Amino acid sequence: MPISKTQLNDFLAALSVDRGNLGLIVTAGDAGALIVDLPNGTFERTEIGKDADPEQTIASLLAAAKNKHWCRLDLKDGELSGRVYNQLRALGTSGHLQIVNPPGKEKNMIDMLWPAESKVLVVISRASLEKITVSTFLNLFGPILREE
Amino acid sequence: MPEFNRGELFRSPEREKMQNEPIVRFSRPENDLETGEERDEKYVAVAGVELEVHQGSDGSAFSDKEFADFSFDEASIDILKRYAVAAKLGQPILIEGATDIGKTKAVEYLAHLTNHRLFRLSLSGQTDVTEFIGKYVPNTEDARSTFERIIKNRDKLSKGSQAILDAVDQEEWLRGLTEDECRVIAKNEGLNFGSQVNWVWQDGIFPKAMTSDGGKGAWLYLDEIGTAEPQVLVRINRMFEKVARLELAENGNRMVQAGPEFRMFASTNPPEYSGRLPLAPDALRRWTYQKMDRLPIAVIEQRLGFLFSGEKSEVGPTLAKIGVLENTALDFKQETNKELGKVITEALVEFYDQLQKMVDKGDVGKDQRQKVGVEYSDLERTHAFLASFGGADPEKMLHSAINYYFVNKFGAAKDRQKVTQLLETVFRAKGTIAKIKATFKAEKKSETPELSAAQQEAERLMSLI
Repeated sequence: MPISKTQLNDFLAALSVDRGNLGLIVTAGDAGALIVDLPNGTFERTEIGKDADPEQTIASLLAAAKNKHWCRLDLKDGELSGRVYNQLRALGTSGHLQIVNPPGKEKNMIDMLWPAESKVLVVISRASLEKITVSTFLNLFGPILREE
Repeated sequence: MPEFNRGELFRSPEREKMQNEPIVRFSRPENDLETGEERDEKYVAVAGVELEVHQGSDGSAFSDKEFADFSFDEASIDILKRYAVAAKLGQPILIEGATDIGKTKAVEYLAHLTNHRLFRLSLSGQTDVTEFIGKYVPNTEDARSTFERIIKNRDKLSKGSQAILDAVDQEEWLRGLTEDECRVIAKNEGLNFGSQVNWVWQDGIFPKAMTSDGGKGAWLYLDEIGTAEPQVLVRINRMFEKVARLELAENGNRMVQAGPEFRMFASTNPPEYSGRLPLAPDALRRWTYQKMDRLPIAVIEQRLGFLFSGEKSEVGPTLAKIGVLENTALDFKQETNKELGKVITEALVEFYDQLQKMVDKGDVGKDQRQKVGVEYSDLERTHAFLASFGGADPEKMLHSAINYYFVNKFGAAKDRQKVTQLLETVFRAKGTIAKIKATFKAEKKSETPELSAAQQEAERLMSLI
């Protein structure tokens, strides 16, 4: 059964007040095909996966934090790089972004409090979720919405 | 004339507070050893453990507000105290405990209280050596992105490039690519970056933490260390030496030496979680390993009560239960302490021998998935603990040290009880407590410090009352 508008709104409302900053939607089919209207309209969006550059994900997170946007990460397959996982885990537990050697920046480290207005939405298909090898992956998230 | 208690007269207000408050901030004027000038040193005491506050520019990235709802319950103070002891003594600590008991929050809070930058690495099976050690990259973003994209798709690389990566993988030590290897791979793959692009070395999290703030060093927190590949832990073996070192084979065998303020903390969930494998004994023994149980329901109730109603738990009884430490050094090399040292050595050796046998036979720790050993290094740690905290009450501190380094290795209440019972049996058999009392009393009398003129005057006035 597809995710209803009410389910999605409730999920986004829960995520918007979640102290852990991270929410997960598990889709039945292609994660990228799910349309989600994020609260403040503008958001950063990037893909994570075997062919994706982890630095691109880091750059999207940084842009979201700087502009106080939400960030949507489409996890295409079970490949979650250690560098991205480290950031997601830090966001979920400490609410900080701590990026050593940030892409394209002169500074060699950024350590900043993640803005309360910004949240990270990770979207993954059920098939890809089964391929994730990071055993604590689901612990990263506050609200989780599953498409039946 | 009332009995005059000089200890009480010169007891500082900070010391009084330390018995009753989990966190005490204070200043202590101290003379600079080189210039003789007086400078104001800032300290924070956590459950009595005094830690110097970092004075450099590159300090905590947290704010007080982030810890406004820190719950001073029994578990939180206990974890804070364990980290504080480790920070004070420079002993890397690994706390194994259930999710959400507050392992991460406590280390963040302690780093903030002492104004230390906390570098953090959450490990997983996917952790790449370049993230924590460092790597060579082309110095433009386009070239970097192109090189890293190409190298990621290993099966599409030329045979020559694959051979380089295979050779690196087969080395005994986990490492990244050297500059020459990067250049050859780039050439093999037809990447012509031109003369404007140079290869530069970027330090990873570990070297950065070790040398942070002009070489003083910062704090490093390794989260979920139990999920790391064993080769990752082997790579950091030299970081456990007295002065932590890290050899960067990729960067011309550069040796990074940690600054004096560098400290290492780690946490992990129990191996029962998510089917992860227990840590290898060789990796485990480098840490002061602390096993913690799930949060008791009473503590969960306290934390929720605090969140829902702002109701704070009473800290005094909690501190009394956990035990506040006193930072009074005990110099075992001093002639007057030699006898005391012998008494403690005799008891510790017997306890160590008996406990090893119990562990070997499976009398303790049998049901614990993370197997623990009883190591000589635990005895060395016990000595360091007593040398820092044992000067006021060595008997009490000996119990605390054994609790910290031996009892806390075990999670099950029955195991903890058995280890504690063993200690008491050994103490009884050896007459340890009576001997400590006898030797320490004698030492106290002969150790009376010289009084300053002001103190002598205060004593004279007291004697007139």
